[in-house]
Amino acid sequence: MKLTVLQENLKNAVTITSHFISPKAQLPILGNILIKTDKSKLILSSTNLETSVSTSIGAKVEKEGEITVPGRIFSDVISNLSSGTIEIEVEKEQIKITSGTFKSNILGVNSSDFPIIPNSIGKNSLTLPKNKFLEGLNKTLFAVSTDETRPVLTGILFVFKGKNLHLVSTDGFRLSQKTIKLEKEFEDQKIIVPKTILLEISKLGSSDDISFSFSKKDNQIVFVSGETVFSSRVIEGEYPDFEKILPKSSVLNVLIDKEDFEKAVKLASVFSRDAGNILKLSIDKNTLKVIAESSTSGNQETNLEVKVEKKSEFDGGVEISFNYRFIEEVLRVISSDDILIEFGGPNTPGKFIDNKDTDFLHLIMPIKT
Amino acid sequence: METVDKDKVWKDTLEVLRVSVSDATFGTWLTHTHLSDVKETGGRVVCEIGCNSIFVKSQVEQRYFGLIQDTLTKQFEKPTDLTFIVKPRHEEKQVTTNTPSPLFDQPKINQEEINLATRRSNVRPSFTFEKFAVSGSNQLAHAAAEAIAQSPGNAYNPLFIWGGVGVGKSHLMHAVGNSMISKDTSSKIIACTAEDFTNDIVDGIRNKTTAEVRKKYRKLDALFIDDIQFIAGKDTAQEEFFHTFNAVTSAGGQVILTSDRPPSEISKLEERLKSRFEAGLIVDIAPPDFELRCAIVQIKAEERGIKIDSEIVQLIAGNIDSARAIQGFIVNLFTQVNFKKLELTYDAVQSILGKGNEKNERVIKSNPEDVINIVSKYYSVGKKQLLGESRARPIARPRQMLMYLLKTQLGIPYQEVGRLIGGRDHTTVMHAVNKIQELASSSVDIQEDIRGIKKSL
Repeated sequence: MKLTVLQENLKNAVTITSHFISPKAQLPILGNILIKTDKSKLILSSTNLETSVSTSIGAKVEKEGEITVPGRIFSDVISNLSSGTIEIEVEKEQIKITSGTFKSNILGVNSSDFPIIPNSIGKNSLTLPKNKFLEGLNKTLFAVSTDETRPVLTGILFVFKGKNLHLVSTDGFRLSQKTIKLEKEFEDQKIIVPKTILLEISKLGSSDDISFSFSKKDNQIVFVSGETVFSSRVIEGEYPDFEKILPKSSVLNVLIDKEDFEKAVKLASVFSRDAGNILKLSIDKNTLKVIAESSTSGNQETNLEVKVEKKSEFDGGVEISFNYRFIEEVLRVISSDDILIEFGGPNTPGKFIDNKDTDFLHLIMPIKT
Repeated sequence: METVDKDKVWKDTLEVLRVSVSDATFGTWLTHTHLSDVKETGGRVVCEIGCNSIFVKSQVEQRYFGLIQDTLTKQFEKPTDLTFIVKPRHEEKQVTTNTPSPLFDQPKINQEEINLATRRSNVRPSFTFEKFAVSGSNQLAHAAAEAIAQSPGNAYNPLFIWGGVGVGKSHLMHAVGNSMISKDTSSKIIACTAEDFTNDIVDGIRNKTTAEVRKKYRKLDALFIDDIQFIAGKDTAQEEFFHTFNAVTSAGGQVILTSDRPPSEISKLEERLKSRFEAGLIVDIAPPDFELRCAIVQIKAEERGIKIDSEIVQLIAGNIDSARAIQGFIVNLFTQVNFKKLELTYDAVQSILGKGNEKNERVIKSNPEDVINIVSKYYSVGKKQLLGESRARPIARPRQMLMYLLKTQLGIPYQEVGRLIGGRDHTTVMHAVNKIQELASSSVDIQEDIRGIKKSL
């Protein structure tokens, strides 16, 4: 195996693949990256047995071949080289890397023990509109649970229904939902996709579309973007019935200037950090008070001018407490200048709506005080 | 082959495999497999090996197939074949904790609140719009009730529903209540019968707590009273009801009443009440037609968890008239299916239906002669004309009705009916019966006629 590649290309490919290696795995080869030539391409693959990635870059190949290299070492070497051409030559199980004045020999491992990794899209693929999909991930990923005792919540639920794809995430305290319109219909189904693979996809910057396929038999999903193929197992289990908890009516709607609200929450966080993250919203006529109190450090209150719309059968104000972090996080993904919050009462979830993006919906469960 | 303890077999297999492979390989690949199925066909054992991901599957299948096959062959002492599938282990699935998190805990509390609210207001929780089948005979009433559920107190106030027994008057009324409660559990609703209302008034008078009774009824979001006709003739109850009615409606509350006849026909009902009822919407529900009965059979059967073929559904719907009788029949069927292990075939259902019918017929065992007289009187058509030759519609329709009744109510054979009606052919009778059956499902007049004549039978 002998070839020449550009450092910039190789660096990108190695960075992506190095995220999928599992250095602590019992089987040492899982800590390695598989490099393999294919005509005028160099393919790099890695896996941690739950997810895998395979990406290819252009290369000048003189002699074909394949080998696995220790991921950490390889990626550290490649990313620290200066840009320009890199020559890679493999003899037996030694990888010789030459770039300008730099020379290195890395000990590799025969590739025969390396697991088989999907390198193309499966049957029944679907093209996802890239920008909308990435935006959807951005607006849902932050609400995914990190609690491993409830595995189904550690992924995003993909609900295909007619021409719509709903992305849903929840950690049991809040719920994010973003609907994406697809160009063509896909088989109606629900799939729970692990967060890890989606985090990697959300980092993709290239302008290629993303294709998607799901094999029920293999319990595996595949995403392809440009030259990169991601695969992952899907999470088995029953996702909670989220449709049931979406509030159907509200008693009080509040329209708030997003920037002002963000500032007020930021200020309130100074005190609520010591008080179990509790932040109280008190709404009356045309004002919203953002209140935080701490028994050890003091208290604060911000008065905001807001537009309040009351439903006919309801009179009086609402006092409701939230975890300020949840509010902070949802404000970060809302793009419009105004944010609409619908309240159903002090013990029902508050509904946060982006005025410019009607396909987005966020619920936060209040804290009972 | 005796049933195999799959876990035990697989544990032993893994012990053997462990010796042959490195620790790392064992830990990475083989611990993530299990024996998901064992079958024996033609002297060979087929083992299905479940792997928890596609990576494990492809690796184990490629590299350790022979090793596993040899080990299993030794264990079963029979040649063994292997298949591999991706399937997580059963136990692993159950590890997931099921304590609901706050966000998903919410609806449960709501459900309890709803239950409490329905109990408090005496609304029957099983009477919902979802379980109400709609067809021509009750479409208007259903639409009115739905409109009220959308905006109680505004759409039609009061709503007066009247119709015969078991047509779904109370169901609709309670459905409005359920819908209101599911929207707002704090809605103040009372659903009762006119009898309950009267008793409350009487108790109030006796215990000198009339004020409390008034408070109970007058501050309501919705008041539903069943069988309001029973209030007729009871002066104090009527007066009290009049004031309650005014109090509730003027405060924007909804009033729904049911009765077996329209307000104009309720005798001894005070004029001022009558006029108030007539100010709202008065809708009637006719007895269910054939298609609606089919739907009811299906709904009731679903409630009981029995599956019925459409052929049998039509058989039942075709032979039983009222919704209550259908429910009773389904209960009977359910019992037979469950306890007698009866198979649900067309013939079996027909025989059960037959048993029921005999009883019914004995009740209305009247003389063909009487029926002819009654029909002749009902339509004011001379008996001679009725049995005569004229084929003009005003004569022919009553004649067809007569044939229909003789056949269906008295169970007289076609030929015999023909003989009774001036020596007509049995095909004429068949046509007549079909005609009336057809009309009965579409024309309210014919339904009215059938009901009217049946009453006098």
